[in-house]
Amino acid sequence: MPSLIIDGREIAADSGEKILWAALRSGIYIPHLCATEGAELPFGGCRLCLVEVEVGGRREMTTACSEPVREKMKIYAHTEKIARMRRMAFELIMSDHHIDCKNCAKRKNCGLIRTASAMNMPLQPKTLRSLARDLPVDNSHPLFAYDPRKCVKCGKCVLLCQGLGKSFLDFAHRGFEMTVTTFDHLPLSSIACESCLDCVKVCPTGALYLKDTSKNVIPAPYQSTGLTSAGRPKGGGVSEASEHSQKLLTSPDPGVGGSLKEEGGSGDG
Amino acid sequence: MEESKQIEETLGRFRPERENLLPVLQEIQEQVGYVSREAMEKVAHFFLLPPSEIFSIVTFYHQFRRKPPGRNPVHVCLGTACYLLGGNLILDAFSRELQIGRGDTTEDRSFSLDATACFGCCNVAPVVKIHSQIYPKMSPGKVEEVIINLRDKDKSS
Repeated sequence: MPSLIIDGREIAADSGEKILWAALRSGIYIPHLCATEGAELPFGGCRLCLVEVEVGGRREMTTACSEPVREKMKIYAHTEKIARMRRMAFELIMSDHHIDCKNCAKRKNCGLIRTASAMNMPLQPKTLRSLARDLPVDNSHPLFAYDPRKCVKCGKCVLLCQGLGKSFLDFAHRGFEMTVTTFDHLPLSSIACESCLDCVKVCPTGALYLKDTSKNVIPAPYQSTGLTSAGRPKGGGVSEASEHSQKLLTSPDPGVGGSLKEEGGSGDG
Repeated sequence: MEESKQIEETLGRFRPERENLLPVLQEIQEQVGYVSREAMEKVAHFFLLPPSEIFSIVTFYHQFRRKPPGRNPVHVCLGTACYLLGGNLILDAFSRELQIGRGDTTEDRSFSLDATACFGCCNVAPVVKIHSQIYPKMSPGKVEEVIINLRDKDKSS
């Protein structure tokens, strides 16, 4: 079992485990939104879990959700530089999020609010202007609705729907125009969705929410140490799908959710 | 329908392996002129992939169009030289005049609008290509004239 040193503190980790989960289990909080424990290919889009890793005397920046632990690895998770990068990442996430907490169905269970308070930041970006887009809300499904204006593109619902072998949701378009959507933007009611509602549960924002608003509060108390280490599924094969989703739902994940931003250019010249 | 036959025929020439996915989509675009919803569904079925993934790929690359091209396909160059000389303003002007966005086709199918990369005539930038004709040193003011001339040509033929 390898041990690593985070901010001068030695902690134990499982071999092959990613830094983020080892740190959280030992009570060291690293902000994160898009990370899914056990994901074969960590998305690494929200950039909130950036840490510095010492490699040959030099510090290199990497995302804690994607970097596997190595024996005696030296990690700096709370330096000034890291804090600056994380704040910028969070502001970028919030700059195109439609902030409307008053009318938001998920206001009592919001990953963005939790992350903001853990990072001691306001929801409204201070240094960036808002670029929230005007996109139509999909209200067609009887049980849940999708408001793309609130989506932070963390890809959790995409990953989950894929893991369940259904893949009704995926990313479409690219760069700033990227959205999470269904095949050919078909309304949610017209795809063969079985209404498992798991996507609503993993969504850290008010983008996917239950229409029956009283049920949107899912008991997921904020705790930075409560991750269970048992039964970490390897990958999302169809046979493991239900176990996988079960795991996703039952693990009391502290800062849920996430975002991908400003990826690639939109020009082709 | 001829279009679905063309798609079937194209699929028949490939093996359903992932590395053939982009070549298949390109071939369909070449044959049919665009990648329709039906085409995406057929491709998904052929490769045993979720349709949403095909949609994700088709929308990611600007090369693919999801609407049939118009009789006069307008290609506005957004290569470096054209871009610096206001290529995006030309694109905006076409978009305004034709009331369609990038990648769209007008209702009467007479025009479609696309932005493309360099044609290799940067010396006369910014340029627009319609059919095989290059329109050199474009300006937003010249856009209306180009459209009117093409409409007239359409009517007379």
